[in-house]
Parts: sequence; C-alpha cells; structure tokens
Amino acid sequence: MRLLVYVTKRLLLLVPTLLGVSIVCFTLIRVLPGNPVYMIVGPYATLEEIARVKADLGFDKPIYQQYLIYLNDVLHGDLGYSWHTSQPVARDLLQRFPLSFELSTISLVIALSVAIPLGVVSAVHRGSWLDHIARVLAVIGVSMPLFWSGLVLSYVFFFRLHWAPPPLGTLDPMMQPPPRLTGMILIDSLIARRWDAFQSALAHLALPAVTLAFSMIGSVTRMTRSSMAEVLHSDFVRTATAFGLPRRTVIYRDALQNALLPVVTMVGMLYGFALGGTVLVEMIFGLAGMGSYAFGSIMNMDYAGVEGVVLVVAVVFVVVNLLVDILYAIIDPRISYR
Amino acid sequence: MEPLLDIRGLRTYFFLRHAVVKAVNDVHLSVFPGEMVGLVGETGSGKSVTALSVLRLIQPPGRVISGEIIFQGRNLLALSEAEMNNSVRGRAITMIFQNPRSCLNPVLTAGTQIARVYQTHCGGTTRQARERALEFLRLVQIPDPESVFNRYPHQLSGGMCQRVMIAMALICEPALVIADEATTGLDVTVQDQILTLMRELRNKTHTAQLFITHDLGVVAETCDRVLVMYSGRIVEAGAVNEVYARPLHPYTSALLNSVPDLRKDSRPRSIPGEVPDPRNLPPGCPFHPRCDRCTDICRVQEPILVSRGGSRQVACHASVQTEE
Amino acid sequence: MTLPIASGPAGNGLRWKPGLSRQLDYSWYVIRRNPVTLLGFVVVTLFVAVGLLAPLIARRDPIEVAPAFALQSPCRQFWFGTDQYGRDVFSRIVHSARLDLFIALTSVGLAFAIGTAIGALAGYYGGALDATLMRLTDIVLAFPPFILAMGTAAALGAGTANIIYVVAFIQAPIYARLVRGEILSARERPYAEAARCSGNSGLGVVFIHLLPNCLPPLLVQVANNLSWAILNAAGLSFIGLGVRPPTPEWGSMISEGVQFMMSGRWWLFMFPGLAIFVTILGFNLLADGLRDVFDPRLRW
Repeated sequence: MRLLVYVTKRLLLLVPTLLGVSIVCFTLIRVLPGNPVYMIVGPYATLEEIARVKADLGFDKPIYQQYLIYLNDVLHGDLGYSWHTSQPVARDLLQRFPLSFELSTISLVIALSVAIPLGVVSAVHRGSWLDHIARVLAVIGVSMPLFWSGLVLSYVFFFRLHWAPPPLGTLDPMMQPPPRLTGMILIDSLIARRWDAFQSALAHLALPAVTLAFSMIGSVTRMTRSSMAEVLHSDFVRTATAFGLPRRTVIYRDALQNALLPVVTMVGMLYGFALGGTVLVEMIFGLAGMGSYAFGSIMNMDYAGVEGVVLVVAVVFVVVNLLVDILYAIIDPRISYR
Repeated sequence: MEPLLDIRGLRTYFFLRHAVVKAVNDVHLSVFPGEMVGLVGETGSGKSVTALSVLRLIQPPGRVISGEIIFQGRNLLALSEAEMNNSVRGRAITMIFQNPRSCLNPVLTAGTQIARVYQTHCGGTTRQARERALEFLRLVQIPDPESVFNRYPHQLSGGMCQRVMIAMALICEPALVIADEATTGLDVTVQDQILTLMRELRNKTHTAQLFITHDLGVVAETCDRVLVMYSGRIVEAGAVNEVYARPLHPYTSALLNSVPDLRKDSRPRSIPGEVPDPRNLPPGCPFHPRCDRCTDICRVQEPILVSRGGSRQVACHASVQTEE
Repeated sequence: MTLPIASGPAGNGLRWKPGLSRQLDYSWYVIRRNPVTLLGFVVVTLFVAVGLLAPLIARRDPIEVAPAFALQSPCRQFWFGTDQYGRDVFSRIVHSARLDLFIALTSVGLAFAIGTAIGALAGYYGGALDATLMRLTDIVLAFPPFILAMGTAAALGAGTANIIYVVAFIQAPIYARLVRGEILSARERPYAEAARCSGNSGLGVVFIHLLPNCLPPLLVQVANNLSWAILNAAGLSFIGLGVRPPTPEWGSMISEGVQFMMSGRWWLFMFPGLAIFVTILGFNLLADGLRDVFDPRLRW
C-alpha cells in the first residue's frame, strides 16, 4: 500500500518535471535564437511562408502566451514542420523512434549482461588477473569516444575483415523488409517469421549495438565492482558468514542483492546516455533512427527537427527514470516502507 | 569439569605493509558449560579479535599463527572451512555483534533471516522454520512476533534488532553464544533489558555465554567469571566478585579505580600513560610503562598466567612477589 | 614540496589552509607511488604542454591549404599524413589540443563558478531559494546531457564560444548539487557556527569559511569534468555543431575523415580519435588515483 503512495507521489512529480522540460525546449526553439522564424521555416522559405509562420506563431504576443500556444501544440502532437523531409516533425519521429529505442535497449541489455558479472567477479576476486583485466577494460571503455570506437569497429570488421555488413542501414539493401508493425526491425521480422530478415538485421545491428554497449560497460563495471566490494565488507555479510551460511549464498544472494541497488539507479542515467549516443552511432552506421534524423536536421539547418528530437528524447528519459525509481522502490524496502 | 571452550596460546597477528600488529598475543581462555564469562578490556586490547579467531572469521591481512582452540573435543583451528560452516558457526557457537541493525540484511525481513539460519543448519520446510523462528521471537520477549517477523530491519528499534539477533543466535540451540559489545550503543534501559534477557536465557537453556565488553558494570551485573585483557594478553581471571573485591593485577585495580563513584566527591582517576602501539610492543610486561609496581624483571620478562587458587589466575611479576 | 601558508589579499580573508598543502603533498605521493596514476599524470601533463606550446611543436600552419600534398599517408615529412586539402594532420592535432585545452578549462571553470555559487547559496540559505534553485537544476538534469548540448548548440549556433557556454551549462548542475550537499552538512558543524558568531555575513561564512573545506570532492569532479568537456566538445564538433571549420578540432577532423575511411585512408580519422582517447584516458587514470586522496570517507 505504501508503495502505491510512493508511486502516486512520483507520478504527480512527473507533471512539473515535464512542464519544466517543455519550457526549456520552448526556450531553445523560440527564445534563444536570434530569429526563430528561420529556424522553423528553413533557409529556403518564400516570403509568404515567412509571413504566414510569423502570424501563426504570433510573435507580437507576449512570451508566455507564445509558450502556451507551443504547449498546446505539443500536447496535440504538433511539433512543427520539418522542411527537409516535407513532413510534420511528429510523423518523422514516430517513424524513426522505434529503431533508436530498439538500438538503445539492445545496447543496454548487452552492456548490463557483460558489465555486471564482470564487476561482481572483479570484486569477489580482488587483485586477481581477472580483476586487473576488468579494470583495464573498464577504464578504456570509459575513455573511448563513442563516435570514434564505432568508426574503428566499422573499419576493422567491415573494411578490413569483411565480417560485418556495410554500414548502410538495418537490412541488406536487396532484401524486402518485413511488414511494419512496431517499427522495430527485429521484432517485426520475428512476428512475420522472416528469419532471413531477422538474421540480416541482427548482423547490421551488431556493430552499432556493440559500440554503444562498449561505451557503457566501463561505468557499469566500475560501479558494480565498487558497490560489491563495499557490501562484501559490510557488517551483515560478516554476520551471515558468522552464522555459517554457505559462502555461495552469502556472496551471490545476500551481497549481490544489496550491491545491485545502486546499479539499478544507474540504469536510468545510462539509458539517457544511450539515447544521446544514438545520434552519433546511427550516423556512422547509416541507420534510419531518431539520432540520424537529428543529425540530418542539423546538417540541413532544420531546427524544428532538432528541437523535436530534443523534446521527445527528454520526455522518454524522464519517463524511463520514473520507471527506474519505481523499480528501485519495489526492490529496496527501505524506500517505500518508511 | 571439562571446559566447553579452551583457548590455548592463541596468537592472531595482522600483517600490514610496514608493521605486524600483534592483536592477540598468547591468550589462554576457558569457558565452562552453562557459565557466563566476561572478557573485559579497553578498545584495542584484542577482545574482539579473540572472538573472531574462535569462529575463524579473521580476514587477511590477519591470520591466526599459532595456538589451539579446543571446543567439544575438537581443535577448531584444524577444521576445514566447510566443517566450520556446517557444524560450528551458527550452530554450536554463535556470535552477536554491536550495531545489530547493520548486522541484518536490509532487504530481507527479520523473520526470514532467523528462519534461514535454522533451515541452513537443521533443515526443515519453510513453514517449520517459520514456526520455530516465531517460537524464538517469543523466547526473546518480543511482543507481537508475527508482526516483527514481517518487518524489515530499518523498521525495528536497536533493542528489537538485538533481540532478533539473539533469537537468531539461539535458534539452533548452540552450546556457546559470544556477545561482542552487544549492548554498547543501546540505551541504558534497553541495555538492562537485554542483559536481563541474557541471564534468563542462560537459566532456561544453559547456554554458555562469553560477554566481550569494555564496560565493567555489565560484567558485574551479568557474569559469573571475568577475564581481564590488556594488549593482546589475559592479565587476570577469576570469579567476578573476587576479582572486583581483591584485584591482583595492577591494571585491574587501576581499571576498577577509574570508574567514578557517584557517592564520593572525587575526580575520576585515569590510568597514566597510553595503551601501547600494537605494532611496537614494549619488551617484558606490556603494562610495565604505566605500572606503579613495576620492577626490573617486569621490564624484561613477559609474565605468564599462573593459577592463584580456585579459578583465580594472574599474569604479573609484582603480584607473585607480593605473595611471597 | 610544501606550500607556504599565505594570507589572502583581504588581510584576514582567505588563507591557504595547512590541510590543503598537506593534501597536495599527499596527492603527489599517491601519484608517484602508483605507476598507473603516474601514467595518467604524465599524459595529462603532456596534453597541457602540447596545448600550451602548440605553435612551437607544430611548425606548419594547420589551416594552410596545400592541394599538392593532399591525402598523403603518414611518412617522414608528414608524421600523421595529410587531409584532403593537403593540411598536415599532425599539426592540426597539436593545435586542436590547444583549442580543447582552452575549451575544457574555460567551460569547466565557468560551470564550477556558477554551479558552486548556486549550490552554496541553495545549501546555506535553504527555504524557497533552495527549492527554486534545485528545481532549476533538476530540470536541466532531466535531459540526457548530450541531447541537451545538441539542442542548445543548435539554438545558439556553432562556434567556439557557444560550445563553451553549452558545455558549461550542462555541467553546472552537477556542481550545484555536489556543493549543496556539502554545504548542507558543513553548515551544521561547529566551525560554521563559530564563523557566524564572529560577525561574518552569511555570504562571508559560505564562501570564505565553508567552501574551502568542501573543495576536495569537488576537485575529483573537476578532473572528471575536464575530460568530459573535451568529449562533449569533440562530439558536438563531430555532428557539426561545434567549432567552425577550418579551425582544427579533433571531433570535426574525425567527421571529415569518415568520408575517406572506405577508401582506406585511415589516418584521417584514426589519429584524432587516438588523441582524444589517450587524453581522456590520462585524465581518468589520474582522477582514479586521486580519488583515494580526496575520498570523503577518508577525510573526516
């Protein structure tokens, strides 16, 4: 029951946070730039278009009214018009979001599956060669710029070794894509039972996912390692050992359970990092996701597109963090049972 | 009568990078079945390390380097880790610590943790373990055991947590319970309750108890016998009322004198000097720099623990000389 | 190596705490003792040195175009090869180090100053001020950092000055939170009360007495943020929102080099990337080693 109270409280907090996010986005698109009209219509607009947009936006109205109009538009799904794709921004994003979501999620799963065991083993066998290797890998992962490691991987595995497919999207260009249901290529292929598409997509997503995962493995490993090391020296672990509980249970059940708590809170932040990383990774590997859309918008000076991406990604990030907080409250009785 | 626990010549050293800390330096200690023994000493005298050595809980850089710990006929130091876990820890010898709340797993309920100890050592179904845990929660005088069973450690007070720990410590009916500063940090009234509980439990279950504490008052109230520890060694032992009435070792008398007497209007008398650095112990008797009865032999030769009749023992050259 | 204990220009104002010089001594000891930390320190020093001495190290003009020498692979004349305009890659990398050093220092300095001020005021005065300021920082932190950087840079336009503002903007809240936490615990301590009683104004207590004692964990954060600033600046330049060409920057050099990757001209993207990687690695190794010195658990 107290959990429900906690969840309700957090959901209520969601509203001011999202409002704050919308204010920042509004500032970015209307207030900051010198002449926001050009940001919205693009450099090739005609005079009539400019005049119309000006009237539409009501630039004579006070700022707060403009904001309310903006908020109203956003809530109705109108994120402006992307002149370089000739579509409403909202529709572009709807098309492209699933792929970025798919990519970020896969990368996060890979990163956690590798980094957590690595961190745990590293902490349990402190000082061993495994520990040293893990620490070296971790610090390298944290230090490599994402966009560079993607390029290096692409160069080595595609250009030199010809193991990976060319970085030109999620499927072999000759292949017929499966019918679009969720927009996530792996899931759509599975649903349509197109194993060839599934395999091809897997091959194409492998390198981008690994690149993104590699940039996250470092920080998760370190966090897991330090958290685990700290828990292993805690009073309750010593007590459990003193009561003759088998070492296995003490380490991999009691200690691990407690050590993973800070890692859970980290997942939210990581997801944000992954979403930001898609901008760079998608561009390198030619994937048609939200990130490359942002990149394309920047290249074409289509600021409606860019700010649309910022808004959507921020909202997703806020929601993911909320879910992570709720998950944490479920796992850690100290939070909700106060 | 055969002692239940017989520690002979125990030495536990900590091997640091540039020094060796002789935390336990030739300790002889016995606990007989059903008795309540107090182990007194200042912080850093090696009391806790002795207890941890019994249960083989010393972690590197510490190591037990010599001695024997005979318990129920077996030398604990010769057992394998598995044997220790299966038959000794949590089962025949249990230990409760200071700060009971931090000794409990924060994400498991109190009851689960108690039941777990029982299931690990004595088997049984979850329901049986739960029943037994509830029974022992009643034994430690927790009102409303069902409710406490389902609570998490952070929802329980310090006194409650310690009762939970005591329940955990007794659930497999051990022969010996070691309480390491178990009442330190608790409210005085709660302290009193816990000590009363421990006495009653001893009367009911005849479990021997080793109380490790720096508080002379706790020992006076609760224990039958007392051992005084200084700088890694036992310096005096005997029945509580005898030792307190007629201390043989200078350190013991200084300790007893340092307890302020509220009836008299005098200032508390502290012991001059400082506890020796365990990395750099003075030669001879470790207490000699602070002792008012120090003689030449004290500076050179370590005194050994000798019997002075009955259960009295003392390790002091000066006391031997006084007798003669 | 001992630092003199000096009193500040305001006479009875700022003093180098003896603790600070002791901590610096200990830091140096920690750096020397651990070879990995020493390596980090060496790399960072190298980076700073290269940045400061850029014009002396790389004699060739990084911007000068020389089409005759276009796309040469690394050789004796051009250590890191040349790009499509014939510009010397080595020279461009060295000059970019200078630019990145400047960006890192100014943006982190700005973030530090603003964030610390906000956090200190919020932590010390509490109440409505605290609530408002923390709400503001929460909103900034509600965005994934790089996305916010991208959005702000898009709104402001490309250019070195704008990158500095953007990077400072996304890093300031971190300092604000950190300092706020420190001040919250520090203001309850006896020395804070003593400072208040001796007649210091609120601001005086905060900035002259409380803050210097909260410095150590901040410094670890600074070390981390310096590398993060370089990473962000490079990332922004990579997507075209950073430094304007033809000014060399590691990130934009990589994005320019991508188009030649498939024709096998690896030196165009490999060397700038290596430069970023090595520099950030150095900072991270150093920060890791120093964390032991400045670990708040070991402090009190």
